Amino acid sequence: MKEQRRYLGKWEFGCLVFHACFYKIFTTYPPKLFAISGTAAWISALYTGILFLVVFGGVLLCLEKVSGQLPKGVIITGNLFLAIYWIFSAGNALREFIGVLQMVAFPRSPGWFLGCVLLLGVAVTVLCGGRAVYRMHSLTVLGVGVAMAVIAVLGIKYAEPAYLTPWLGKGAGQVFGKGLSGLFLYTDSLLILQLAPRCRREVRLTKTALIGAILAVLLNVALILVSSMSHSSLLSKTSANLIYPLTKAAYFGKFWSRMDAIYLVSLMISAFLYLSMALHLFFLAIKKVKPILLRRKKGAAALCMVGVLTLFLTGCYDSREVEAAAYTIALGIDQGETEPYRYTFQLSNPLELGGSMETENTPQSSGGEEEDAKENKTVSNITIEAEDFYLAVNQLKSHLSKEPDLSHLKLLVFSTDVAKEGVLSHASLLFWEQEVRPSTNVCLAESAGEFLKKVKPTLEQSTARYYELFFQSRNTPYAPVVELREFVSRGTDGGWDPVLPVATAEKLSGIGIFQEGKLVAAMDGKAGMLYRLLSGNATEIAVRAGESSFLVSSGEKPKFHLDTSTSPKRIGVRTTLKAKLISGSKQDVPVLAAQLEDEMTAFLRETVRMKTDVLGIGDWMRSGMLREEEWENFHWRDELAKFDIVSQTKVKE
Amino acid sequence: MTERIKITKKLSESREYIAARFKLGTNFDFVLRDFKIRFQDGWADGFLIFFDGMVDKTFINRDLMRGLLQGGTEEKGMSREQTIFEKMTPLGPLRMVQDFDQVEEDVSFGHCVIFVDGCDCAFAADVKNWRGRSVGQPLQEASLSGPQEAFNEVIITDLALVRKILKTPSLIAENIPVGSESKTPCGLLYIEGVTNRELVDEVRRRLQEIDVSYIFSSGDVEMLLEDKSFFPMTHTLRTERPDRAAAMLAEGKVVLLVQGSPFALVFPTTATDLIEVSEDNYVRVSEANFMRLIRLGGIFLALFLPGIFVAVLLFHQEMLPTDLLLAIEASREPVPFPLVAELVLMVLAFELIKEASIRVPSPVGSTLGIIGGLILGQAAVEAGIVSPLLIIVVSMAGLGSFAMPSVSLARSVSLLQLGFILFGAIAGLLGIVCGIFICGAVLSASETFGVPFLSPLTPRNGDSVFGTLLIKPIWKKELRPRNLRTQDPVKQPHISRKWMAQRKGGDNQ
Repeated sequence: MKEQRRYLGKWEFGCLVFHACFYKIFTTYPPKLFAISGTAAWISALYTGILFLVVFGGVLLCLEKVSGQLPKGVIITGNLFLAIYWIFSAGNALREFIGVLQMVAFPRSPGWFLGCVLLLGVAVTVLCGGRAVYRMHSLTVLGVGVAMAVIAVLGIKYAEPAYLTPWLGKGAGQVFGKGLSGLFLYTDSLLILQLAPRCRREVRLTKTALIGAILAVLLNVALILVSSMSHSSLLSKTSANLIYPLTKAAYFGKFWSRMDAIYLVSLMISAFLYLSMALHLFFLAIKKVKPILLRRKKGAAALCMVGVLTLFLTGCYDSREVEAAAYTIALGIDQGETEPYRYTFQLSNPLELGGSMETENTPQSSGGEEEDAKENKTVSNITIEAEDFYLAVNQLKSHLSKEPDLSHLKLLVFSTDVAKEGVLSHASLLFWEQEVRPSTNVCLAESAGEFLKKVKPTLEQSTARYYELFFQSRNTPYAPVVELREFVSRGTDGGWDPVLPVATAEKLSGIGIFQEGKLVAAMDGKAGMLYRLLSGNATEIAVRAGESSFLVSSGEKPKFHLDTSTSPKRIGVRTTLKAKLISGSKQDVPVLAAQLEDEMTAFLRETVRMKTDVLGIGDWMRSGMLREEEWENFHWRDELAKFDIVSQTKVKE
Repeated sequence: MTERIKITKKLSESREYIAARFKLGTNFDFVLRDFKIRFQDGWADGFLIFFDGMVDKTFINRDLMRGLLQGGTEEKGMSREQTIFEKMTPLGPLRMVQDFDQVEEDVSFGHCVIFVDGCDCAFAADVKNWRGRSVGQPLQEASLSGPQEAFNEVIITDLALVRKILKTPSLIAENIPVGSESKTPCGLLYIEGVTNRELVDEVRRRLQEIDVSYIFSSGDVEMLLEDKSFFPMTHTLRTERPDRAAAMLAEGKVVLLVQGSPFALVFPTTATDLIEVSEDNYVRVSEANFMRLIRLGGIFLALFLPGIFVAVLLFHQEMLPTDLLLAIEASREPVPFPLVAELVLMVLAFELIKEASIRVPSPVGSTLGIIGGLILGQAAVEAGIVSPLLIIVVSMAGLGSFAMPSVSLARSVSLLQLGFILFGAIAGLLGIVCGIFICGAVLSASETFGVPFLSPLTPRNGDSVFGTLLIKPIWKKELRPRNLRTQDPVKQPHISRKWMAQRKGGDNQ
């Protein structure tokens, strides 16, 4: 009979070890490491991971030697300790998972409700016995691992190696000393070896467990690394969990497969898996101390289910009918007259989507008035003056029969007046707002409210889709395309100043340059084009040089070069462009290169004169530093003015 | 155990017993015919009994009685019993029966039993002629490319259909009657030398230890053999196709045929068996795999689509593309019901139509389709009771359930579908994942005849998961499933296409 209880094959055991090493990536692991090590969180993750593997290997070897030789007293004491550990660990994990779930998808659900749902699934799994717990691991862990690996791979799209600097973050003491506390995050993986006697005889315990642990450590490090690279260091410090914004930003396609859905499901599966494993191990341990427990499985299951179902009947907290929500697709922020800010909420009007742009052909409207008579009925604009965003949302609720929803916000517009005062606080607030996507486009307008009111989608029925297409990188040669994530990240960076496109109701042309979150200059479309060429984001921009016309695209990201032999010291910005001849002669290519080089140098000097660094030269300088302290003492903005910055352009045909 | 009543030499006693036991005169189909038979020492009385309609009366009159009465019995030196037995044996299968219990059983099974004065036994002749339909086409497991034969209600015919395919003396068919009164014959089929002995012993043990009065169908037997009757998903594969039953036997499984039921039961059944159809074996591998993937997609849609639809629309609207969300919002505006009520209403209406279409006589079937289509589709949308998108969701889920190979699986999935709608409505995706965990835990912990239901998905036993979910060419199906622990795990040699080896200059032997 004892032989039958050996349910754990190598796959099941490997999955259990993998998950025990991995699940905290959803909860405490990333924020703890970012708080300890700053930009070097990934080094701490790698370092503690390697140390853990060494310790784990040692424990496994010891386990093989002492297996079956322990006295009864030690076994009972050990099991008592394990029982206490697992019940506390399960409680703690439940609290953490509930917290993350509330942050990610269930902001209005009380913790006890989420806890009950989690415990229902966990209770049934545990009551089905060890087989169910192990086999559910074997069924789902691969999916969770693959999903998170995909998120890591897709996150590379948003990765900026510059964000990994200074390389040693808060210093060696923190990274390698305090970072050691990260080892405690792997405690479960060591104690899970309690299950070793349940492995089938053919399972090679050490090899299987080590493979599971190594894969988990690699995935942990990869995720920490990618999330470190996708956000600035200052943003990392304020973050609760940086992997989630990354998944919210990452797209797997144009419209579909938002990775946050995959992340959410992986998180939930992980919660169910860990809690069921912890409770199963608790019961296993306590069974050896007091073997009378868990005899009446069916009765306990029925009681548990009836209890939780009763709780269910009390309400579905985050549930909301689709038609009960008013979807905000654009938000404009202007300076107010009676209050500091005037917010314009542009809400979709889906009933009008069938025939959006209607012309009111009244007898009075004719000729030049016809344009004004056209009204974008697919949206409704509501303007509210308030002290801050949440007060404005409160007031908006009093204007609407439906509940405002920001989850489909496509565009955030700042007026130039507000931008001059500083918009980083607004942007950060919206970035951390649970409903708003980090991929929301941001732009500047003379008056945000007027811009939104005057927007008339051309060649498009849906205003939301119009914004999506309008702000696509390929469609905007004279302005940069900036997402909220990028704007906030650069705004808090210090080594890379953000820019925003300038929009009017008719076109997107021009660039607004920011310093510490404040607009310092709004430049024309030509400057916008030069910025795109310099930043390596240009796609087939038509440029005329000499007697010829070319389509110019960026070849690669700009490279910086410091020349200390000159006075003042010179920083060269090397850009590689690809030019496709449209008309004229190829002999004009050098003319094009010289022309663009001159214009780009002038643009760069202009930005430096304003003490702004729009290309991230500061981050490049930071990459030569070891500690964050060094960077803080460097005062890059003051140093920047001491350099002569020139563009060195190479044009390939 | 009650003592069996022996047959005595006194014919009058036997006649009295039989007349009382079979309610002669009341049972209008019970026939008792008296006759006289001449022996060397004189004439003796006799009678025969049978149930009209269950026997071949022509055979009784033309062959059995004529042979017995006309030729006479004049052999010397033999007892009456021996004389009659030897006289009648060439005419057909005949047994000497010593007790009345056996007589009752034989007569109930369509035998004709002959009593003769002076004999302390009776003679049971197998002249049964049960009326049954001929071998027809499979209805539930229709196939375009495969054989068009299906089991019928007569166990012998069913057995012959299987034997016709396997053609091996190793195919063993044990008759195990089940039901203390009905004594329903159950054929336990397995291949000697292949099927795991423990599995055969276990099925036999369970069958023999069933203690009920009557068995009416294979469903009764299935319920009496399975571990958990309230399990949400079927644990036993029921097939009406002899070719599929034969394929399962060749894999090393046990097949059970039940008299009166046109379905064979296959033990043990795993989840992967439930998604197989016999069509897979008759088309090209790429086609079969494509259809398999479609079917898997259908199962996913039927099981999860309505639940996920509710979960996403109520809790996770941010996950939908904006244009789709706005289109849904526009379509939901005129609908007065909450989404969950609307969905449950539609799902139940769909199930109602499905159920009604089975019961309805075929001439009005098309009318039902029109009514269903009009009510569920056009009229409900125009009346503003349901939104058009919801119709699409329910229809997709419905199509998914129709694509399922097993009717029993489709019904299980329909039941679980409602559960997932409930979970989705309670807690969104968290509820769905909770439901998946509950189902997954129950399914993964369950076993049928010692074989894990979800194997080889979990626990892994060395068999390829993809090889199980998808279809391999026949020349790659070298091994029998490991989870069956068959006596002969190798189905065919590593190189089954020996002509290839010859072509490449290999061994020509």
